[in-house]
Amino acid sequence: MLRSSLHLFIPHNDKSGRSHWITQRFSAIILLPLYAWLLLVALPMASTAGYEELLLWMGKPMNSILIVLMIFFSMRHMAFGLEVIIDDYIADPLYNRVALLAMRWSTLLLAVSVLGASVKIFMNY
Amino acid sequence: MAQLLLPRNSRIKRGKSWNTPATPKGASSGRKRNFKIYRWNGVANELPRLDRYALDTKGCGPMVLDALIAIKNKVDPSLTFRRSCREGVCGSCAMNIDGTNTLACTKPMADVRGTINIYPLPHCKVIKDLVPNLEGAYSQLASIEPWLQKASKVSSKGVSKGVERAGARERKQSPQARAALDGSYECILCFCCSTSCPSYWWNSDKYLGPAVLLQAYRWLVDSRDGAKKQRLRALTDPFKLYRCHTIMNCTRTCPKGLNPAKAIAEIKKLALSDYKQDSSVKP
Ligand code: SF4
Ligand code: SF4
Ligand code: FES
Repeated sequence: MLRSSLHLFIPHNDKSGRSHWITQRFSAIILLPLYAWLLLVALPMASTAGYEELLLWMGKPMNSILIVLMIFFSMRHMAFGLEVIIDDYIADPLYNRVALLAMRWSTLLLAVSVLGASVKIFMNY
Repeated sequence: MAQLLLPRNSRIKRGKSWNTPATPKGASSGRKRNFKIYRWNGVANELPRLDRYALDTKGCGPMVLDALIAIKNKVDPSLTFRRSCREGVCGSCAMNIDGTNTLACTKPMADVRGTINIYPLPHCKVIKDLVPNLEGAYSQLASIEPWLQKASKVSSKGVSKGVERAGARERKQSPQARAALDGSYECILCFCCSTSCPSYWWNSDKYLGPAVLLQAYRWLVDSRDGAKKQRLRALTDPFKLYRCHTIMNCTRTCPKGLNPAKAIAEIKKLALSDYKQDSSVKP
């Protein structure tokens, strides 16, 4: 059980389309409530609150956790989706590898910078 | 790399115009139907062309295949297409009619308004005129081993003791178990579905396509088959099965009214339960 649930969290690069598919459905299910929270709670908050007030709100532990989870799973879900698109359309093995590498590194960079920002907000507010 | 320009011989030039020979004096003539039909004679450097035919449909049957046969007999004997049963059971006459892959022998001319456009099945290499090369699809079908297999007997030490001798016992199937095959055994392997699937267009060398996956499903759900696990394992690489993105063209186009997209979804479910089993056995 532990092993199978770990499998769903840790990025893995195995050759089976099965776990890729399962992991992508899994992050989609996780993201549903997170996006509901984003749309119904976080965005209305962001549009009415002032800058300082918003940072304070984002710095609350519960909100920080939700933001970090949302970013982690969004980026992961996005990377998995883009991988499918790249595999669909770029057949040449070399171009395929290059495109996948570029995509993985840029999503990773994006994820790290946004996660870094939320951690910083959490520490400072 | 993704190819941005079409290969040279994908451009279709304007072809010849053919007319039904004039009706002899005194004989009555029927309704004229106009056709535009893709022609290519298999010569590598020549461009395909779109020939126009005006067919007098008097005495001609109601289906598009009847018209093709009439054209071949009366107007242009060089027109080439496959057909055999002329009643929708052999799958030979699959082609793209009026923008949809279907069987010429079950497609009524009356269903098409105006000129009837006929092309070979899309995204296939053409052998001649309306005859596509389906070798790739046939070898993919062979790759899923579409025949009944017995479970190999494994001893307690995990050593294979070989398969049960052929004909060793009768394999019975209850009516309920037999019903599981409804919706997949009827497939006539015309490949209308596979050649309508964008995913199959892009990756037909690695993705099996809806027709072959429907057959894979047909053997997975056969209560008499003993190779379920091996069959599933063989499908779960990133391409063979999982390139299906549920675009549903296959189900829309199937001239036999079957639902390959649903069968593919069912295979994914079977693979999921197989996965759960796998990860719960290990520590
Ligand atoms: S549902 Fe799957 S197999 Fe059918 S057309 Fe779409 S991608 Fe192809
Ligand atoms: S599923 Fe339908 S369209 Fe596909 S090969 Fe079978 S009969 Fe033809
Ligand atoms: S001729 Fe057999 S299916 Fe059309």
